[in-house]
Parts: sequence; C-alpha cells; structure tokens
Amino acid sequence: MTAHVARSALALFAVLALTSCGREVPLRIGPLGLVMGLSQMEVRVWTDAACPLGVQAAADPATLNRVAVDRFYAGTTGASSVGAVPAGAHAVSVLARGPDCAVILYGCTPNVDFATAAAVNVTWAMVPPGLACEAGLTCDSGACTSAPGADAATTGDAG
Amino acid sequence: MQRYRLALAPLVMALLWSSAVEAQGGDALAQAEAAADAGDFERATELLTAVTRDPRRLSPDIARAYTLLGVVQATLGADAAASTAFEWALALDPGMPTPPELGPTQRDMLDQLRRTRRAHPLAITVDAPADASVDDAVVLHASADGAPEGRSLRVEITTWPDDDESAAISANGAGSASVAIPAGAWPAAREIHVRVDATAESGGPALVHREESVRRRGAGGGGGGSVFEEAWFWVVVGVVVAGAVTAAVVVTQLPQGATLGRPELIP
Repeated sequence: MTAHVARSALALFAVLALTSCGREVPLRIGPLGLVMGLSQMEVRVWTDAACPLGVQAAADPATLNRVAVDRFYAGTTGASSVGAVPAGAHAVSVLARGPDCAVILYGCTPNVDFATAAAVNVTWAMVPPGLACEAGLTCDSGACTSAPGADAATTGDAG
Repeated sequence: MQRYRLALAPLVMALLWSSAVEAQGGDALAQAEAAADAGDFERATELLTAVTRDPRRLSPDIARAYTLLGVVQATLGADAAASTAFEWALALDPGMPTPPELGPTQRDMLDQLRRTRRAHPLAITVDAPADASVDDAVVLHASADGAPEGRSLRVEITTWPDDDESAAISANGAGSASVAIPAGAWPAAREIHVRVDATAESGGPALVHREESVRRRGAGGGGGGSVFEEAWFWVVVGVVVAGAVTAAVVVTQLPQGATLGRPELIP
C-alpha cells in the first residue's frame, strides 16, 4: 500500500516535470516569396531579449558570446528542431545566405518569452548586397567557415 | 388411508424417540425428586450429582439439581454438604427461592449464604490486551472467582484466530489458566477470539463463561482495512503528499524552458 502511494506520488512528480519542460515552440519564417537561391540559413537565439543592432552585428562571430543557441541549416528548411532554449525572454534571428555566402535575407524578433509563446514568427527582409563572410571566415559552398574545406555539418543540419 | 398411515409413521417414531430422550435426561431430576419423596436419599443424591456433572445440562437444570441436593443433604443432617450445594445453587441462580422443606436453622444458613453470595458472585476475569501487533507475543490470562467456600472452579481458556477456528489452542487450570500466542502466529488474523469457561472443580457444564477478543495490528492478507487504522500508514501518506506538493510547487516556480522547433517557411 505504501509502495502504491509512493509510486503515485512519483508519477505525479514526473507528470509535473514533463509538462513544465520540453514544450516545443514552432519557428515560422516568412515570407516564403523572398526565398530564391539560398544555400544556408542561420538561426540564432540570443541571450538578450533585444535584437542585435543591424544585420552586420547579427552575422558577426564576435557577438557569439551573446548567442544562446546557434543553428545552421543547409538550405531553407530544417529537418530537426533548433534546440532547447533557456528560460526567459530572448531575441530570435534568422539570416540566409546565397551560394557566395552573401547575406540575402535577415529578420529578427525580439522579446520572445518561451514560457508563454505559442510560436515564434520571424519576418525577414532583403539585405543590401555586400555583406558576405566576416573577417577570418571563408565561403565554402555557401557556408562561411573558419578554414577552407571545413565541414559545416559539424555545426549544422543537412536538412 | 393406508398410505397416510405409512407417511405418518416416521413422524410418530421421531416424536416417540424425542420423548424417550427427554425422559431419560429430565427425568433424572424428576426421578431424584421421586426418590427423595420416597425416602431414598442415597439414590436421590446419586441422581442429582450425576445431573450436576452432565456437560449437556443448562444452568437452570444445574441450579435446580444443586438446590435439591442441598435439601437432601440437609434432611440427612449433612449441613456442610448442604451448604456447599446451596452455594453452588446460589452461584448459578442468585434469586433461587428458599425450599419450603428446610427447617429454621437451615433457612438461616441459606440466608447467610445468600448474603455472602451477593458480595462474591461467580465471575470470570480476563486479562487480555484490547489490541496487539502481529509481531508481539500475546499472553491471555483468565481467572474465576466466587466458588463456594473450600471449593474452586476449573477455568478453561480457548483462543482462536478469526480466519481459522480449527487452529484453536486452549489451556485449563484450577482457578485460573493462561495461554500464550507466540509472536508472528496467525499473521492473517485480524482478530483473536477468546472464550473462557468456568466449571465446578469436578467438571460438568460451564457454570459461567465469558468471551473477549483481541484486535490485531499489522495483520496481513486480503489488503485494505486494518492498515488504514495504523498511525505509521498515515505518517507515510502525509510525508509523501507533503513531498509531492513541495515538488509541484518547486517545479511550477522554476523558469519554464522550451524547445524551439524546426524552421518552417510560411507565405
């Protein structure tokens, strides 16, 4: 009888734990009509609720200490989720590059509270040409890498 | 008609047989009275003594037999034996009428016995716990008081678990008896029944009896029921519930994390 009560309490605790963590929040990016010739997409969840000051800051490796989750996708669709996000309010940015690594599209949604958000919607826009891989990085098949031939798959997603 | 006679034959035979049985037992009292009336006091004493030792007899019969025995002994001048018989009769029937056959001296003796008997009625005392754990040995002790002067009662104590009457154990002794139930015995029993009978020293039917019961704590088998009466159970329930509530509060107070899903392009 005691074991039964203990098992019930454990089950209750497990249900509470499961319902309070691991909730998946959909990431919706648009408009779809702007997608043309994209070869890489970078999704970043920032530690702050505020978006980086401009696309250049969003693409700058020097700002990576402000990134909580950094996810690369080859192409414009992801086969897997971006990943676990720490509690609190964050900014979510999406940056897409062309085959020459030039940034074509960029969007950022600030102040996303993952405790309550039903979904994250990021609206991106065309970026004036000129911004490619940052200093120290080279373009390899549309992905900015730290060394020629580096395998983007180690940090990205094939999907 | 012949058929009806055949059908009634067993009934008639049964009635005859029961009458014969009644005459054989009841009438030992009637036969004793007849013998006493006829002056055959030896025969009357023999018959009445047999009645007092017959375990099938009920208390009123025994009380009546002792009364008659007292009268017979008083008539014979055996005052000590008469006194003992009257004492037994009073023990069983404190309100017994004074037999008209007694002379003034014997009436005084009976009145004195009646007063004494009122102060010391026939009684059984049982020393048993109201409840006991399955893990504890239980000792049951019973004693009987109120026997006529110079006599004692034989006490028989019998105990058995409520789930198995065939497992009964008993003990007897002069004036008192004890039974010990070892720790761990009858683990499934939720109650232990105790019956105590007191008979005359020479045997015979129970002159007085008493029944008690001992509730078992921690009795297993069959689930539900007794465990809810255990303090430790509610302590465990309290601790578990408090723990669960605390965990729930802590979990709900924690910052709520989430997983950002896979990118999905929308129009």
